[in-house]
Amino acid sequence: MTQQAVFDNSSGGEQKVFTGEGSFEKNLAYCRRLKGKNVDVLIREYTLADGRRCAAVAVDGMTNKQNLEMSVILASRRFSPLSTDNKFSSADGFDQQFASVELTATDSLSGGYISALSGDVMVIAEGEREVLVCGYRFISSRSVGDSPFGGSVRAPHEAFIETLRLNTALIRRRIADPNLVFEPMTVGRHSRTAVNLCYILGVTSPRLIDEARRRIDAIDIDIINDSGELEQLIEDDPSSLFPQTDGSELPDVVAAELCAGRVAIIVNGSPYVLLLPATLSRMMKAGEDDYQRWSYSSFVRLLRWAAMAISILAPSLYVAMVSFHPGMLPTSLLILTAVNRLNVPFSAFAEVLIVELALELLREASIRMPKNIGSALSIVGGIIIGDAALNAGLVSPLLIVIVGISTMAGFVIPSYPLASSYRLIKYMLLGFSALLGLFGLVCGVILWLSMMVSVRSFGTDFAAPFFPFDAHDAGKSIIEPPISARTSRPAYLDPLDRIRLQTTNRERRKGSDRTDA
Amino acid sequence: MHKRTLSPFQIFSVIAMASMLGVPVTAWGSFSPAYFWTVILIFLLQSGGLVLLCFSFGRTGKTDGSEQLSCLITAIPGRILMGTLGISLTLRSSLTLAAQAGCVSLYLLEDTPPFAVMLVLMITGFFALLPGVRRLSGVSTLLVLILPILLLLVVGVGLAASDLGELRTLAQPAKNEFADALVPAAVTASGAECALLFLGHRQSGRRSIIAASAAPAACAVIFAALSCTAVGTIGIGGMNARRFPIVEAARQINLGGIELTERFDLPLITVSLFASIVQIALFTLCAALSLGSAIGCRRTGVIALWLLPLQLVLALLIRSGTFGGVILPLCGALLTLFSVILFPLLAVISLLHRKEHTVQ
Amino acid sequence: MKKLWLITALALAAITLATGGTDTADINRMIFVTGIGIDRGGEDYSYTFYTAVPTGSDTAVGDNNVEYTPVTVTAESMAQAVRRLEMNSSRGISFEHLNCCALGVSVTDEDLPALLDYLLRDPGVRRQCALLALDCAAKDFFGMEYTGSIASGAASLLERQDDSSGRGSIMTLGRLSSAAENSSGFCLYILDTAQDKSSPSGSDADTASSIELRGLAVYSADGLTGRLTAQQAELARLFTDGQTSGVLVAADEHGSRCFYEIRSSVCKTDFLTGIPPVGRFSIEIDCVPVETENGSGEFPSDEQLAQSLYSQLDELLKLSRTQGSAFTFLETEARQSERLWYEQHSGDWENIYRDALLELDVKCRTADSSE
Repeated sequence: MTQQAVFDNSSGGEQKVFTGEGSFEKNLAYCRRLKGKNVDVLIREYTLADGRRCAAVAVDGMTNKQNLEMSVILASRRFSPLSTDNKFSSADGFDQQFASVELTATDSLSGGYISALSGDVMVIAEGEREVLVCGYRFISSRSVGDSPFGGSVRAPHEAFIETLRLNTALIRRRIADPNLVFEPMTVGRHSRTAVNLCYILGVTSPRLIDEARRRIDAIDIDIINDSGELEQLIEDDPSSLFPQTDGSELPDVVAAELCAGRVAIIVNGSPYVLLLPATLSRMMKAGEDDYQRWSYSSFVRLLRWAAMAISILAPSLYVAMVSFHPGMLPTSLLILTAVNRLNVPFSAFAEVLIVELALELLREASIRMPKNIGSALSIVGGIIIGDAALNAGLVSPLLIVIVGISTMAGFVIPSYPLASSYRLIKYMLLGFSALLGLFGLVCGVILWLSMMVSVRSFGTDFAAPFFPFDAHDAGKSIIEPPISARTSRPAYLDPLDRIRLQTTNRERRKGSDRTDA
Repeated sequence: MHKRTLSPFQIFSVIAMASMLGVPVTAWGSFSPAYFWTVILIFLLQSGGLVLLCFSFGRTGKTDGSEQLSCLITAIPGRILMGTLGISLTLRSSLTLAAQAGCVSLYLLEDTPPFAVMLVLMITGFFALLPGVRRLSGVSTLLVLILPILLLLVVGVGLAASDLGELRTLAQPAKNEFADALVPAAVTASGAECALLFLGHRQSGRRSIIAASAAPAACAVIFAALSCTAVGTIGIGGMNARRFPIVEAARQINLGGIELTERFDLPLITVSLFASIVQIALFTLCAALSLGSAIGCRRTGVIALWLLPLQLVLALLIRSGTFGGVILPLCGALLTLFSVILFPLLAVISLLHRKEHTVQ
Repeated sequence: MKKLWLITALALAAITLATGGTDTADINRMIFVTGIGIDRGGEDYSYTFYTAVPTGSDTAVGDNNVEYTPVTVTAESMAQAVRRLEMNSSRGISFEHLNCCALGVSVTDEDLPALLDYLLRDPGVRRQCALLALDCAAKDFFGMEYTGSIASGAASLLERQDDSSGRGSIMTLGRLSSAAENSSGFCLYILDTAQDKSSPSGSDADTASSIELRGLAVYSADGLTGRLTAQQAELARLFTDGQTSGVLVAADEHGSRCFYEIRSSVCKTDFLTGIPPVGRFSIEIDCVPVETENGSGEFPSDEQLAQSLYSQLDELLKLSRTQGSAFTFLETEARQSERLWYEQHSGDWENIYRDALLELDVKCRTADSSE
């Protein structure tokens, strides 16, 4: 028996509300046909006070049933166009019976049904030319909590969750500006995933907004489950090693970047909000850099850049020095290294590769494993196996230290996608270094730099503000300036309004001094 | 924001990288106080030449080098000049390739065949130059931000560890040494003439002109600092006796109690490798552009692909000593033609040219 | 264009894979030569290679994990000796951590650049390797009982001398080649072994060897020209401006020796070109009396001290005439201040210098040791 689709998801599948003779039965029959065998789709028929028939369509588990019963069915039952009950004026229509804040009328029966599948309630009334859609969604989700991606010392701890509307609320709470726009879009033929494109009018470049909108509109796919899939569909070059969209799970970070001139994309069902465009300097910045004092933040930021270099170059430099250029090492360190490697049966490159791959396995296993055995496995993997490998002479202690430092340095990079891409580049440099030593490493670095400068993200260079070089913005990327010095938005975002800070602290303090005097 | 024009810093970076042959440290066996001062003088002349070139571009409003020449000098001589520039850049690129491969084979990879080293250098450069000047300018920009740290380390420690009293010999060039020093100095200081191909794409404004002229000046400072370090360590006699005197001088620097590294020449060789790869890429690209303009072919990638094996063969011949005696004077003469004669000439002709509205 | 990228990347990877890896040599499979000693053995030379071989140990890494072994090879040249060493060893040989190159007493008068030509040419040899001369055979020097590495110990001793002397820099392989190219003179420190009976029990079994400084060997472009004793080498430092340490020895009117500690010294040099050139040295020393030989505590006056020092320094100046470039600083001064003059006469410098008019003026000021 063939299982044919009951609804054509292409643009030609829309069904308008039936009108005229027998329209209510036709509308109901259409809904029942779409319902089919779905046990969670509820269709409740009832009668209005004037005897007209009415039906409410909702999805069990996505709708607040109490609101369905009280605010929809019971509230509307008393309606009669001829009666003055439940009316404030004789002109009140059928739609005035519903207290729902999100109430829309539509002549698209299929559209109303789809809205019901998203958690709304569709009301079909006999004789009405339109159906009403009430927003009474109630979908269980986890509460707002800490971001699982990583911690911060002095920063808000709340993170986005999977519910789109709650996420927009978290941002709206921080930017109470009428110019903040959450433009609704839908992606996915089957999933019809709600996506919000958010930006600030008067700040964000219209070119960026249009480009983001264009790319999202151009997506033709069946389902979008997470922002990661959307990201891969809209990025400039999927084959590049570098990420071309940024993102965050923290509302304060997204709010700050919106104010800087970026565009955010919130996907229903995903706690990871995309930020466009992606730049290296933004990915190397942690949210709390802005909240700490500038001196400490600057130090941490410099440390972060150094950590980036260490994480990528340390293993390759080790291989180059040990295998090709032992003259680079001071004699005492050379002896130490040679003694450490005395019984290791592998070459330096093989040794590094073994340890790095073992760490990758450990990293993946720690993500996938159930939480209640996570700590036990960490002990087994990290300590017992590592210690056993050392005692067996498979790897040298010095290499464990170097790879450990390199891995820790990688964790210092705030952006997970960037850190992931650097892990791949590390292997590329390792290969070059293993074959041609320092010369190979230099060639690999040239390749890395040339790949990096060719990456673009929604019209902006990934290496901005270092390329194209903007001294002011580049300086702010390396050193965190005092908040009074953060007077302008980054030029590479091409914002409509570049001024951020109008009055400096010093000027404000001068004013208070005069008052005191 | 994507801009097709090159910013002042990009201009500075690309020209600085193009002129950095002084960093790879070979003095072609002719180091003397006269050579030292001649190199600095030529760098400064190049600075002036680039200012005049910017001026002439500004007057005509052209962005393409061949169009500029055709506009000011007429088409056929313009094409001949572009062809000459292409040949000059190809030869220079081969010189850099040969010199750098020699340095790598001597100090880094003794057993790896120099041919393989040259191939890797060339292909890395080719990868860096795709798809054009903009990408190369990106790599140059990033390197100009990173490499000064290494250079400062080498120069700072080198000057502290060397005998500065030896530098007084540099202040007394002998008059009869200038004639011998001219050709090797011209080769060392050459490279900026490739700016003819991309200077027209600069952003308008005084900052671009300052950036263009500052690049050779910066290279002059780097060359002077490194040469002083080397002379202070091994003396002028030592500079002449060695193939890579600055590297040899760096090898002799002992940091004493600071057990940082036994081989102090490696940061210098690293800087020189970066600069050489970018230089080879830039010269190959510019040579392809010039030759393409000369023969009327726009397929720069194809021309560049054909230039690669040609450069490899030339570099091998230079290493074997076959044509070294011819190529050096040829490069020197061609540099003189462009930086010292052509650029000022273009400026003078453009003065007489009717000023056109500059479109950027 | 993307295809071109891909082809380029693949070509690079292929070439790198095909040709790379030929220069690899893991450090745990190498022998590091930290010292080389050269002696004359009849027609041939006897080369002693002081090797450091890492050994396994369960304890924390330290000197216990390295075996320092002198290996002696007889050959006609160093290149031959190195080749024999490589053939007889199961590991690769590295000279990149060469600390010192010691010339035995039998070869100190030979043409050093020619003797060390192999080391000067090979780019794999450490250029900062210290050069020194010995008062004994190099084989005995590297074969003595010593705690740790003899080569490192010798190099460290030279560096300490260098720091305190202000002479300039110790002679290294790199500077030797510069000196040969510039036809300039140089000095090598002379070291020797010494038995150190420092054990409290005084037992011979606990005697350890140490390295001590014996003097300075002076070379010109033509070879060894003479030697200075350790005391003379110490005095020669006074001709370099800015000394802040050292010990002076002067005789009082009874001939008893008195010791002074130098606080600071200034040497002003005035060099007039011409033939013969005129060199004026004015040395002012601030020093503190430390002790007397006879324990009397009576020190000579400043004038007597100056007179005593004058005679010693004047003797050094006389020595420098017959020993060519004994005081390399003088030649350096000439070279720097009047380069053209010096270059015109550099080939004949020794003869010109022999007739130079050298004037010396010495002033001393002694301070109370409590100041």
